[in-house]
Amino acid sequence: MGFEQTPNISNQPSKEQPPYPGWVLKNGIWRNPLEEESTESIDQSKKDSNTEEQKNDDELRLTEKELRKISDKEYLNPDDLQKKKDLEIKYSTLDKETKETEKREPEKEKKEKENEGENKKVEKKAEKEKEKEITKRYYDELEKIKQMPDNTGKLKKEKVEKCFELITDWKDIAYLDNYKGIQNIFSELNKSKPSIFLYGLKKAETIDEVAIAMASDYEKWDLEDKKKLKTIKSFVNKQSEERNFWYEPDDRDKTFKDIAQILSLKDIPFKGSVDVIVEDIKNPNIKSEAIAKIFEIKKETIEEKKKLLKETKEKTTKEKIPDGEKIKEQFEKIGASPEIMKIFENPESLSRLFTKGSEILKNPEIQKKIQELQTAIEKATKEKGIIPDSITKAAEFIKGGKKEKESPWKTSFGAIGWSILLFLVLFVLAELKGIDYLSGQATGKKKEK
Amino acid sequence: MQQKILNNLPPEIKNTVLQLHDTILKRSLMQAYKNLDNDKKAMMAEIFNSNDDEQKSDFLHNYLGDLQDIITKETKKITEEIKKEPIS
Repeated sequence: MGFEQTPNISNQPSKEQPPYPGWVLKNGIWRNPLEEESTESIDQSKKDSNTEEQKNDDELRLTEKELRKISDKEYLNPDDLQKKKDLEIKYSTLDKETKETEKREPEKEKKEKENEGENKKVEKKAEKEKEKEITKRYYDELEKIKQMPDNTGKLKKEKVEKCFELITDWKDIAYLDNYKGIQNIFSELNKSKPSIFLYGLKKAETIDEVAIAMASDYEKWDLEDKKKLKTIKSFVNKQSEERNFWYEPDDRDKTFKDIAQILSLKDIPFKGSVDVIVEDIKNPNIKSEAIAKIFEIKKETIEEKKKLLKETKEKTTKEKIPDGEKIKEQFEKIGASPEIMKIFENPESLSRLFTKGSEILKNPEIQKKIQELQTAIEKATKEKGIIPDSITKAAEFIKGGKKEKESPWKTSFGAIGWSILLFLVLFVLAELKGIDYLSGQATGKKKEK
Repeated sequence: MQQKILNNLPPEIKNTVLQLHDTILKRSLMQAYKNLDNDKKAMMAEIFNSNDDEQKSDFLHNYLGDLQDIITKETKKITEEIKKEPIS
């Protein structure tokens, strides 16, 4: 690049006067202060520039600008001529360097990509470390629970409550250790065998929640499919071994059905994967329902699958049981009799109440009492006056709509509806002397009627 | 789980329990309804004749907030009434 300019001697202005208004004399050279500022700003940008090629580019532009400035002068003094020569050499060198940098660009991009990959690796490593730390914290918590004494009923209750709390907290990220820690807590629970009201129900609910979490986070486990399926099956089967009124073989089958459904909604293949779960469903009706559902799912759209997946996951969290203490408090407010409170405080009698209840009620004497009680209830509950339509509709709404007619007060009064339902069952049985019968059995003294 | 309790009862006991359950709920609602002024009663009729579940929930929450206490009292009352009926 050349900026040939011959000084126009005849037009050469006096050295005491600026060539243009506003120009200033600096180091013997007239300069435009505005251009000086611009040069300074380029200098500044050069300083801020982080990369070498950016520096080169800035330098090149600066040199070009200075060259243009000299070329634009109406006359050149010897200093200008020398400076022009220097600048031309500098420009040519910088230009060459810039072109070479451009040639190196693909190589640089490659290097940048490598750096990016490296950064991702670092991030992933940091994330893994964080996950390890979280899991470690849960293990520490588990260790503390294991150390808790459980030689009295109260201590046992505290320990079991801590176990349930830890499972609930851990289950959503328990895939990080492939559910080993969670299964460890279940072992601790099974060792405790506490005498807590509705322990069996809480355990049943928790087994279901963990199983659903295992299926829902299926893709996040760090195990091959075969091992994941084996872990899920062994967890559900092991936890259903203990006799539990709230988790009977049909309940276990329903858990397997939900798992199979979730896996199908996640497009896990039936053959070799989902069928491994389905084969453990013992009840033929539940099994055929599960298979039919899986084939239905196959036909669904992606959006519909997402919706169904959300519904299935939410199903287990919908019907939370109220705390035993709250039920007890509610019973006291209702004015539960000592017989009812006694059976309520003894979980064994309570589960016997349900398992043996039907047997007791087959007794002809009790059958007669049922008839009498029903008559008494009809008389006592006979509606007096007209019930407004809005009351009937509000009652239907509270009960959860026509579809769930037998689900008492699910929608708005879950906990209280639950307590009252249980109280009414106990009340009816107490009136029939069924509770006396069960209490007698619990202490080994079957009451004769 | 509520369903499980009910399903484990013999049909005659199950029906008796559900009947009691229904009666307690309706009586409690009736009790709460009596405490409403006429405007609120008209509002309740309008809302519960509609399909807007959110409005229904809001109405129960805003105007029948003490329903839980009423339910508890009605349960106590009804079980006492049954006990008064002569059962051999």
